[in-house]
Amino acid sequence: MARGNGISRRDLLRASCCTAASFGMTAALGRLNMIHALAAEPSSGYQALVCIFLFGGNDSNNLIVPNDTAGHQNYGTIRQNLALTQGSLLPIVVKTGKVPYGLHPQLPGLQGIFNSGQVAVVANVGTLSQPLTQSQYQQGTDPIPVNMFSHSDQQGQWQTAQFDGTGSTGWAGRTADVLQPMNSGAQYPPITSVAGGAIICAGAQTQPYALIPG
Amino acid sequence: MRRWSFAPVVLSLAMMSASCALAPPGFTPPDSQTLTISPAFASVRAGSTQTFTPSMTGKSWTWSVNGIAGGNATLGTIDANGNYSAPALLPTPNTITIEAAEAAKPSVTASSAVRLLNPIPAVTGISPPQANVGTFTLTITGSEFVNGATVSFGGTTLTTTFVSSAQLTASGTATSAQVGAVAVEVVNPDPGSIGSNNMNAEVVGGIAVAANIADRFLEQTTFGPTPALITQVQYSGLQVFLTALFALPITKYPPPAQGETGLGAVQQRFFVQNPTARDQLRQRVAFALSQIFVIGGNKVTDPTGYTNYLQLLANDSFTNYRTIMQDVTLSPAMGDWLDMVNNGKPNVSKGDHANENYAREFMQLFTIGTSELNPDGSYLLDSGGNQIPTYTQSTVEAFALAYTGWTYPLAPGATQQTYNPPYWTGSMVAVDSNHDTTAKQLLIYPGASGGGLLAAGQSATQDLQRALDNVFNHPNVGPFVSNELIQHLVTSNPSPPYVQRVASVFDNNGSGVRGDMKAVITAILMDPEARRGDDPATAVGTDGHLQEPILYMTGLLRAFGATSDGSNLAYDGSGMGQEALYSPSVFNFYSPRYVIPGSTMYGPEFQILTTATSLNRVNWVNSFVFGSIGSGTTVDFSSYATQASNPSALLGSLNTLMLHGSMSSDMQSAILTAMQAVPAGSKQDMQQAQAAIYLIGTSSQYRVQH
Repeated sequence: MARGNGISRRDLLRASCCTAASFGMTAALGRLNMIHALAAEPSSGYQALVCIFLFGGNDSNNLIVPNDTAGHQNYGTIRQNLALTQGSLLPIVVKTGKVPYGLHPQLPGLQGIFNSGQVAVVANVGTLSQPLTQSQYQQGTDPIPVNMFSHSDQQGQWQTAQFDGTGSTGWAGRTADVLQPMNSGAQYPPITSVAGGAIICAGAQTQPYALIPG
Repeated sequence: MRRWSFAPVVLSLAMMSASCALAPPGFTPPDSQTLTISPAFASVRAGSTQTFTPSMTGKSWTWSVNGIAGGNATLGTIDANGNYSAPALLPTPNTITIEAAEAAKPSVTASSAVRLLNPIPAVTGISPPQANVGTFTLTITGSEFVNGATVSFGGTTLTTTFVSSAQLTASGTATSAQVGAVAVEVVNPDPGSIGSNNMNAEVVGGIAVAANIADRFLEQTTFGPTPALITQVQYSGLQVFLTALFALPITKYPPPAQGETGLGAVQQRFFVQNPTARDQLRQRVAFALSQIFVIGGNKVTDPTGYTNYLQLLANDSFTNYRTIMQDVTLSPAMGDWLDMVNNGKPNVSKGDHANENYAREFMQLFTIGTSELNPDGSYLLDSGGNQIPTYTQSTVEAFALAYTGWTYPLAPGATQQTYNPPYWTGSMVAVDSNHDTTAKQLLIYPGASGGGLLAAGQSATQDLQRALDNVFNHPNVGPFVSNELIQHLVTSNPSPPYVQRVASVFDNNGSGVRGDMKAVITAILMDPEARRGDDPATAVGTDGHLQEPILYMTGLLRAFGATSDGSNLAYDGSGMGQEALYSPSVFNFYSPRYVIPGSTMYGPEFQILTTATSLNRVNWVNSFVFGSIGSGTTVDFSSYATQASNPSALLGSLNTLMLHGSMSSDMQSAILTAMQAVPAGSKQDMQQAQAAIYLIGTSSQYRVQH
């Protein structure tokens, strides 16, 4: 995690997927090219970004839950039968003055590393074609990602960061396209997938190396 | 017509039998007061016997043939009791005299005039058993053929060559009117001309199509071409073959053994059934349907439930799409997979909702897709150029409610409950007390029955039927389903007009029936765009599709006549990204809209072609050809090894069998070079054949079927 002389993983993510979500693809690609500038200084040592994608299989409202009285009450009203009881939550340490949260009781490991400062939660993210308010969404006046409720489409859009549904490359793949020249002479593709040919890894110029674990 | 044309022959045979041993016309009997021999006149067939009896008893006789005591091999022999054995070949002349002289008084003699006739021929074999329309040559085997015998073919005498008493060759011309069974008969010549038994030969309509075309059609209709099926298609032609495929009885999956758990044995049966079933097209379409109406073994783990589901798809493959929709919807396996089973009336006050999984995926993946389509399968766009959703979240919720109240089939002897425990045989059953009876707004489209509104107060069955009808009649179903079936059977990138032609048949089979699967399958396979690759001059390089791992393996097994108990193959497939029966999700192993990276073309099967799976394909072919893919599978390449002495001919056979003759000249010369590089030795022929099969089997030209 230590920041070297070159790009940090956080820089990379800021430049790629987060900007993609905020400003759409054109802006995102422009930001990606800024990585070259960030990387002007050569970095030392091996750095890798590991992505685990659950394909929407995570019910985040069942993972991290408000742990203050008012917040949990509100949560319980919305979740009804599905709500976790407040007493069952594994508390996590947040900064003084911030709203406390708890984790699902099955996640003591995550609780431990969170409390030792090794985990950050980026909440309230999702596919978006442009900034959108709740009322804009409800009125249907502004564009939203195509096929919002189709699991397979949204799984794809999380990977492509292209919300008109036409993406055939993934944001990590496009990142690899940009990073590839910095690794000139490398005999090995910039991305390795242990989950088959996930589209997140597909670039316009680069393709991932897929291997089957075990 | 062919059958009764032989009646005169049979009749003449009967007459000759009756006239046997009767006097020829105009013959004068000898003096009856002297010694006579009975019969006085006889016709005896070559190789047969006739007993002669003197008119006096109690004496010994000396018998002679043409004055030669006891006769001889040329004239036939006769023993002391008057038993005459005619020679196998007729003497010249063919009339002989049998004479008896009293041993004690040689002047007392009598004679009988015998006419020797040709024997009755017998046919035991015809080779080849099939003759094409047009000229043909047959080899007839049997016995008692006489030089001068002719072969009658459906009443027409063929030009016949006598080879031996056991073999004739004959050539002639079969007409198209003779297509079918034709009686073949050998007629021995005079004296005593007589026909044999009838044996049928088959006239086939000539070579209707070239082997390469036949092979390509089999790539689209089976789990892989075989040499025998290529021949069959060549003679029957594509349409007749297709009709025959539709008529074949349904192959049944064996039921799981008592106490069987898990799906390992079902996977094994899958790999026995699919490569070996005679009803190949049905199984192939069922396999395509299994990738549209997807279930997966990571949730549906009961072997009976899964087997019944596979059987359901096979049973329904040639029915109507509406039938498939309903049978799938009510199958306990699908109910389990997408949570429609035990989807009860929601307790709204508790914040419950009906489970939306089935309602959503049924529309998104099985029937209409997420966006409105034009009749040619392209997206219908609004004035802003955007796709138009086919349904909204509230539509999904309405369908979810319409589908409430269904539970597992009732096990024999069990008591019906609101939520029956899992039971996998039969259809799910409705529990109306657990069905939501509010009104539901379903899909709205031009012509939707009742505006797509389900009235309140209907039973679970009524709501289900009307909900399925509402989806089935949506205009998207034709282009949506047609496109997917085309992708599975023919090509990943059908042109919009091709989709539209098939979709119009889906909409109306010509008799006003919507969803007729046979009509749709026929339209897909016989479309000019499906067939243009038959002719290299009109073939389009971007037609076709990457063979998915299951078809890749079964194709090679079938091409080389491997026998397999199906073991290991599911595991091998998983290494190639496609473990049979274990689609990772309802979205199948790959998406129909997957775009090949770096291109603008759809290539669904490419989604599971990665560096890892690609190597595993090559490794599998390596094991299959040079080693073993497991003790349960055996394959013998020796028939190809025997062709290796003529490498070009061997390559030609393989080119037809594996590539419908589309092998590029570069590839041919590269493979010939590799074959020539095989060092001399006792196994050189086999190794050359293996090298050729391996190189073709791993080539991109083979992996992508055009």
